[in-house]
Amino acid sequence: MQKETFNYDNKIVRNFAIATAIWGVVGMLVGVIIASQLFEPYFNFNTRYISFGRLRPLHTNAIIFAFVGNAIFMGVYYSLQRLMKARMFSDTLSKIHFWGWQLIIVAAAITLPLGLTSSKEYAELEWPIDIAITLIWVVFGWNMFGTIYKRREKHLYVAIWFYLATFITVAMLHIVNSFALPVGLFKSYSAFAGVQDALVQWWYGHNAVAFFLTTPFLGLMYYFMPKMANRPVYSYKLSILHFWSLIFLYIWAGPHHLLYTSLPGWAQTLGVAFSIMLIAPSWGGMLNGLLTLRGAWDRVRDDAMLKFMVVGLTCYGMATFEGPMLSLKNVNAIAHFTDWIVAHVHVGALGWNGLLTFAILYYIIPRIYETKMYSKKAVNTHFWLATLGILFYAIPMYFSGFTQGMMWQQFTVDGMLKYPNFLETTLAVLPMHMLRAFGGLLYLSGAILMAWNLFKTAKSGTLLANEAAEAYPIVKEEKGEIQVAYWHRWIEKRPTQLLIFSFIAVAIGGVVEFVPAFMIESNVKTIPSVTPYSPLELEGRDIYIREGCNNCHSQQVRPFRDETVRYGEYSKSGENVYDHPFLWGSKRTGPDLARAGNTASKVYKDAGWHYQHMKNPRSTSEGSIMPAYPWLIDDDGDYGDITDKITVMRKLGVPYEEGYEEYAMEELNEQAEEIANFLMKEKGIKVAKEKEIVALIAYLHKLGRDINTKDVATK
Amino acid sequence: MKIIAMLISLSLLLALGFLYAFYKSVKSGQFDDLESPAMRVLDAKKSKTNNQN
Amino acid sequence: MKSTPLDISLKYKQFDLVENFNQLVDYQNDTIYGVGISLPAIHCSSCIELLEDLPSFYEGIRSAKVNFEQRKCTVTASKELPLSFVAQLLEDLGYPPQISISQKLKEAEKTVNKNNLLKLAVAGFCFGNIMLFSMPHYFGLQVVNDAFFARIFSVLSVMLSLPVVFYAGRDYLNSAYRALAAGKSHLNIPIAIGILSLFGWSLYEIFSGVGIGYLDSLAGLIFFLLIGKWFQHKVYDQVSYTRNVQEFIPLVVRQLVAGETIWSRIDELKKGDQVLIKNEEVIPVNGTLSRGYGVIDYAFITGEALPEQVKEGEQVYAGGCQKAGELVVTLLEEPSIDKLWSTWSSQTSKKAFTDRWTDHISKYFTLAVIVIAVVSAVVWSFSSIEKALFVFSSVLIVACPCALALSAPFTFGNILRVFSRNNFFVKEAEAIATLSRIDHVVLDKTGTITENTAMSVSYIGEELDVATASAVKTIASQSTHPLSNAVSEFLGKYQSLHINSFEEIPGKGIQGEVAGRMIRLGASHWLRDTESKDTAVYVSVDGEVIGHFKISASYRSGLKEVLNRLSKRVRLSILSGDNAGEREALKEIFPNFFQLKFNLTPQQKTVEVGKIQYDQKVLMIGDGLNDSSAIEQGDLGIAITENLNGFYPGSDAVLVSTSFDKLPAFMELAGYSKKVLKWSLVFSLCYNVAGVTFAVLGLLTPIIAAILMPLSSVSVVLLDTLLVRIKSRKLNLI
Repeated sequence: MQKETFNYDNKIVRNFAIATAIWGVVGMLVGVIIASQLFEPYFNFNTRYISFGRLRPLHTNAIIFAFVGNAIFMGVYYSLQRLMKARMFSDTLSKIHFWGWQLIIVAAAITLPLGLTSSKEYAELEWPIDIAITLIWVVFGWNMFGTIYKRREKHLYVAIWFYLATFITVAMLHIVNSFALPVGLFKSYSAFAGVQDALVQWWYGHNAVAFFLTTPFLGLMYYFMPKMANRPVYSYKLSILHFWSLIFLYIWAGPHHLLYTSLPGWAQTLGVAFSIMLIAPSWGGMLNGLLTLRGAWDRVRDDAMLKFMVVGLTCYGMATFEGPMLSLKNVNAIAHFTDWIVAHVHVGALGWNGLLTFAILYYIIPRIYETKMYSKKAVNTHFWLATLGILFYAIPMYFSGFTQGMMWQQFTVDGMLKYPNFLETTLAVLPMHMLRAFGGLLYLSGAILMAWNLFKTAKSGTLLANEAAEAYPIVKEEKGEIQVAYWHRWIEKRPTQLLIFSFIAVAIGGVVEFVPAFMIESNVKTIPSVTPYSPLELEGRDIYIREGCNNCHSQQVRPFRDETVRYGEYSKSGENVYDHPFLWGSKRTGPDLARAGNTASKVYKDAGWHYQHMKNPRSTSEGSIMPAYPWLIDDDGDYGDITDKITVMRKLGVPYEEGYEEYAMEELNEQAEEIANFLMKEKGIKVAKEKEIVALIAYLHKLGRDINTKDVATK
Repeated sequence: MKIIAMLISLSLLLALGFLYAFYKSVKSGQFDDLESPAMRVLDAKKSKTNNQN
Repeated sequence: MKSTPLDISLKYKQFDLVENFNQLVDYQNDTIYGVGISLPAIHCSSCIELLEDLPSFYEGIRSAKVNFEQRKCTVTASKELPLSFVAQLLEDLGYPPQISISQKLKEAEKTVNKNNLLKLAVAGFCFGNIMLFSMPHYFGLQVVNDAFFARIFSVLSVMLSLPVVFYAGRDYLNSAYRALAAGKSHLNIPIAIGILSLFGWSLYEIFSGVGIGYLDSLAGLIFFLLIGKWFQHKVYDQVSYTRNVQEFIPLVVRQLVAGETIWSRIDELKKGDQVLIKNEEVIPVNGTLSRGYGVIDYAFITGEALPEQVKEGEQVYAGGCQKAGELVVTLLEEPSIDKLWSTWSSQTSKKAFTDRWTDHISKYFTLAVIVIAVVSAVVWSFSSIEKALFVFSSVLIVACPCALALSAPFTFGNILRVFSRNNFFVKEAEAIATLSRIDHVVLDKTGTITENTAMSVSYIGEELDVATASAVKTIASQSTHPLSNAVSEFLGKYQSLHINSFEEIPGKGIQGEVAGRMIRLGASHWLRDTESKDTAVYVSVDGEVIGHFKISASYRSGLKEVLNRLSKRVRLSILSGDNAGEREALKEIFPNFFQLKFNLTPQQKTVEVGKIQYDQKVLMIGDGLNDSSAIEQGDLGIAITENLNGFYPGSDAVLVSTSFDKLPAFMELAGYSKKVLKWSLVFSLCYNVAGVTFAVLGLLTPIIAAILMPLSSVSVVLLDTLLVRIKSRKLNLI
């Protein structure tokens, strides 16, 4: 029996590596920019395309899909081939995958600053790009499965399991969360509304963290750590156990993003319970990785690559401990909506994803270029820059989050809010924002240093585009029947059939019973006084979405005393039944706006105030870091699509009358005129009714307006 | 809130899919040997044949 | 590509015989075969590399895959390459293979355990998810009132419970059915009743909308039962010493025909045929030594540690192992394999581990449960039929003796583990029970209470000065013969000198010139022309005998203590095949032997054991083949050994010699197991009583069932494990 010879495709790995490095720098740069905007609004440059609301999603998407995404592909393409002892299934698919993915990123980089967004976190990209993502993801899967099929190594190493779980789960998550009806080429409305949308979003959001940011990296860790340390994984058994328990538990932890919202209490409790349980498998992975270095710790001192891995794994451990802690209801009450969550995210992203990516880049590039690292010193420097960056990022953010969360809750001895003005709490944490930006800057410089170092390294060597390898093919065995096991087979058949049939029967019964109920329920009004958005309000809402206001403003008052005092009545699920998509938000850099249209609420401001505030936030709120939106004053609203919007909304279950879209434009103009008149007469502000600011004001004044304490009905 | 039903069902379906995958892989002997795979990863013999560029 | 033929050793040749081959390979077709070969020498990652590269070096080998965990290599080869070749190849590479048919049978058992693991995983998965759906009810949360979700969760729970009942729990249902059909009593019957009641009643509750059922208890119950089963198997897997007589006696030999060597099957040989036996090979047939010098180790047959020196013309016996050069043996009779095997092999009873004791109890248990169920149902029917039905099924649900089913495997399983950790390998749990009831311990002498390796040497004769002693030591250390080794060690403190000549004369001794003197060490009949009764190595210097070394086996350390401790529980006897020279020495060590008999043949030993058994339970401890039938005769038979690669027919347990001094502790622990089981029984019955009380009063809600059942299982397991561990620690076994 002779070995077969074949080649590993290193070219595709190199391509993904380059993309990783470049997009990493880009994404981090955007991060530093938005970090600066968060203490100095000047950095918005009064330009719509780079205002915080539009830039923040660009940062998250760039880091998650461009930086981490390409890193995943780089690592998977490198390790999969070598673990399976086979070249990638199809070079063509590899190329399509690579270029397709980069095009998607470019599309994101163009559409997001243009304000073409769905507003759903980490899923902001509009439907055409969503479709493209699905297609490219399928290409990736096809290539991966094909390679596994023609492998020459029978056993699927644990890393492969992680890659497979990632592929399947992300596919399901992406598809379900992207259910939407298009209204235009780059505009769509989510198929789900209000609390349902929130649930789907965070089922997606949390599992995206799990299956895009965690599982692929665990797979990569299980391959690259042993390679870098040149020792086997501490306990392979543990890694198998860890994999299975992780994927089974992770799926149920989603509700911890929705604590103290109008999600039913029992679902929240389940989420908390499972989030706590998640510590065990997560730490299993961390320990397994770290203990692989048992007996080789002295090497960590000299090898910067191993340093990255160790700190990366430690950050993973920290983040996966912190996460469950943040799921505890009492901790969550303080932390939700604050910078503490941001800190948590970045310990994971900068520490786990970032450092591991760097280590893998430093491992792969010299090898595929058949040379040594250009500057070992630079790698070390990078390590320190990155680690310091993380520290300067996370620690100020912990302070900031805790400070702000506590300040919101403070009461004076007379029972009044200690900090009735929200702005006070934001101002209090600006110094920490500065430190954080500095931390980000350190991290970014490390990345730039790395990019330079890798470039020099590549130049000093030649790419081994096709790396020769040899291995025995898998011998197809003809299994004969062992007499001992024969009786076993006979007995096995019957119950299995019975099992399968009963399963199908019950499943059909279930589907028949539940799907109609689900479909119908979305039409049921639970709060009689809650009405759909008027055409003008709808347009205003879309402007809110376009500008990314939900990145700083939440719309979900929690049932806490301080919140009800500060904002008004706490949010009920019935209020958001027409919200396609939901806009609960997940961060309060600015105050919650759920009651912005309720005159009884402290957050209510009249149209004049809103006009001034949008034109220049600092004119009404001294020291505010909110960007200015002068173009809302200058630009006419483009309302030609209102008929389409109404139609789509109706399709999604919002009870607009038949034919309403015919006179929607009329209604829109009427309402706009009212507002324009008000501004003229009461405030002396001259603004044409066509301007976008009018629509936005109309929307803001709708928020919470329908809630009347008498009318409130719980579900 | 019926969306929860859908989400739970989907998640459960996914979990069952994984259970099935687990079942099949145990049957086909993937987990018979839980020590050599860890060492095979380190099988870093330099290839003897020529490399193409 | 190597193509030089290997010199294939005799012991591998028999694998090529068709009936052996078929049992040894995992699969085969017309052209290829695949076989998993155990290679204990695998120890590092380079081994994997080396072995998996085999196909590159041998044309016929198609693939080689290493399983490091099991120290196994699975080889697929073309049928043109015989299995013996592959085996020899592996040995030459430094990985002597262990291939045996009994090993293959053990592996088949391992597959069964894999299936059990799958069932366990499925049960665990479903259990976890069903619990997830029942959690809101535990916490009394809002969803209880939300009909929609209550329904969904119920339906999902039903779906998840299907694989638990019909796949994971299937063995219990099947075995209960078979037992019932055969009219026998079995512990799985009440368990099956419990499972079916839980399932049936829950379905009723859910589909009629009356309640949420007890599916979490159901899944949990099966889950815990399966853990018990898994644990049991895991423990038994560790006990791996079964070997077969076939692996010991070769079935093929090199026959000399007209000066040529050919391979022949033993049963094809006839009287007068000549066979060639090489160094370290076992003599498969009785015959006369026609050519060569025999240094034959009959340890397994007679128990004699020292090899016998056989001259041409003398008889040799099957089972002896030649320790020197080639021999040619002429057959005295037609060899009969059956006769050989019947002397040594025995049917070892493969009792499945269902303790007869628990089966016995289950009969009464089931009866009691049914009676209680029926009576309470009747009583309740006066108030409400609905309630009566509920109570009836509650009783059946909660009265599952799962705790009982777990206590025996965990008690015995833990004890077996402690034993095996102390190098005492017991075949099955029944043996522990027997061990606790032993009245009389019978011991063999040589190899059982004496050490095989160390020998005690004394010198009788003219005093040796330094120069002479050194010279003698020098000569002695030139030979690897065990007697020479003993002498050389005895004289260890003397320096080795330069040697001018050396010669080893098989059958006689060794001689050499040191410092101008001719030193001879050897048998009495060579140096003195007279036979000696004792084992003695005579020394002559320049032709004059100056003395001799008396070599005798030494007793195991701590023997006195062991015998004293044992005598507190049991009577002691010694039955030996050796001569009575040690009688006084033994009496000094322990004066109160019930019987002290010598010069017994294996058959006579067996008869003696039988006599004692008239009114006492006997534990027979021996070593090697010579004690095998006595060991089998005993109520319990323990084979004592230096290593585990030997052959122990008829024994219920194997004790590695280094653990001999722990024998009293083992017996005490075995006795303790009775107590533990009793307490377990009481404990689990308490749960049953509590549960039945709830059930009879109509108070058995799902949450109570969900708490009671896992709690009872877990606590019984913990109790048993803790008790055994504490006791083991007290006995210094762990």
